[in-house]
Amino acid sequence: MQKAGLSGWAPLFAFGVLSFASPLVGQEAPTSTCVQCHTDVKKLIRLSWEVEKVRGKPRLSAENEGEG
Amino acid sequence: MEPYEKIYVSQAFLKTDHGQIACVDCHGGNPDDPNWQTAHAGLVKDPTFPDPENACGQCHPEISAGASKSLHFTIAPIGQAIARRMGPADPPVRAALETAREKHCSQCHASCGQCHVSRPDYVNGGFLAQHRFQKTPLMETTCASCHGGRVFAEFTGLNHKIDADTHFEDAEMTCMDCHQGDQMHAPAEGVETRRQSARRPRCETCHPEASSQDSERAAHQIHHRKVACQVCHAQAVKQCYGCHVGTDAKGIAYFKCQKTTLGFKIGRNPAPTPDRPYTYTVNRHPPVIPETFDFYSPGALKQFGQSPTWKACAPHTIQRQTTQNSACNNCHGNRALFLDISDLADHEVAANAAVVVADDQLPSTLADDALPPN
Repeated sequence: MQKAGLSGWAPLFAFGVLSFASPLVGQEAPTSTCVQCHTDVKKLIRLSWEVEKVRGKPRLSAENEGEG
Repeated sequence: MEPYEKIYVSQAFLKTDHGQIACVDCHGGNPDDPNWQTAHAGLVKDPTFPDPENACGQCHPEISAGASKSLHFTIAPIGQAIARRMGPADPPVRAALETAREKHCSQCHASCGQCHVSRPDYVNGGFLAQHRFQKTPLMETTCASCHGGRVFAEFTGLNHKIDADTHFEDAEMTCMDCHQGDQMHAPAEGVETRRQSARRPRCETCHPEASSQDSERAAHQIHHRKVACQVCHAQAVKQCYGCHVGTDAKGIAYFKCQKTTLGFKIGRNPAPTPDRPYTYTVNRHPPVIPETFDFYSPGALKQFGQSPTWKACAPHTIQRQTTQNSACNNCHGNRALFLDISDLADHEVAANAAVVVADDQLPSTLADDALPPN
């Protein structure tokens, strides 16, 4: 009976040890640079200014006339 | 949209099925590089065009295979219309018009992504819902981006003194209620015009009684298979009379569109089919003129008369009651309503010979103008 009681606690004990040992538990999974930037509005606003400096604003031709 | 809004990805997207796929799997680029310029080297902005197989086909093989050959994806009929009007031509002329087609006409193609994820490229893109995939996109942001000039404006009542289409105004329908996925994704190889598309919407799908010879309405019985539904039930539509295209000194493509009007013209159906047996249809003038591509190759449309410039159309200005169906003689004997040779420019006469309604083809005035009893 005693042996059976100890073996019942063993998986829980092992989970506890592994949880503290693993650096990933309790943290978010690592995200790519793509996700880090594209989910951050402040970063995107700042980057959009940089992009505009490098690439310029999207332009329409001044020669367009009439209804499209 | 602000530039950042166009590319902002929400946390909600990351929790969706599509959000489980690594960005790099569809878009390429270098996800480990913190420098935006080098990280985006080789990036594929729209991984669904020109070949959606890798991005969409892995999970949606049937839809992807059909959609990549659909009218929206290839807009092939435009190339065929140009070829018809160009006729046999020297390689430099063909190459020049191919450039024009790519720079101008092809800008309106719609890939999987440009309907379900972002706005079309034609309006400079931008996510529809922060990269969340939209199974049924909104007509205001998706359809109207390319069809805003004519059909969307007609459907939603943006044209001066023309009522919105009753399907929009009264039934609160959207584009997708008639133009469903199976039509959008249907392959269209060999189709020369969208009228030949087997899965185009049909009035009788929802109104079988109206299109039956046994209809309770006498007007429906009398005009059965002779007159397209829109001849009686549409209002005026936008007519465009000329467009020039070119590239400015900075290398940017431009359009110069000439006169437009709101008008209603009934023409003869030049090629009746079992599917479209009508004698009379409503016609629209597309913006093409012989000089449309002169910037790229002067006089290239040598066989301009090979194709009518008054095309049968499906106006999106439908009403149950219209001016022309309120009395028989509003149509019968009403010369102004039917396409006449005097409506044509000189260069259009040959092209529209089979569409013009000559005086002896005009439905004659009826002695009794009262509508037949229903």
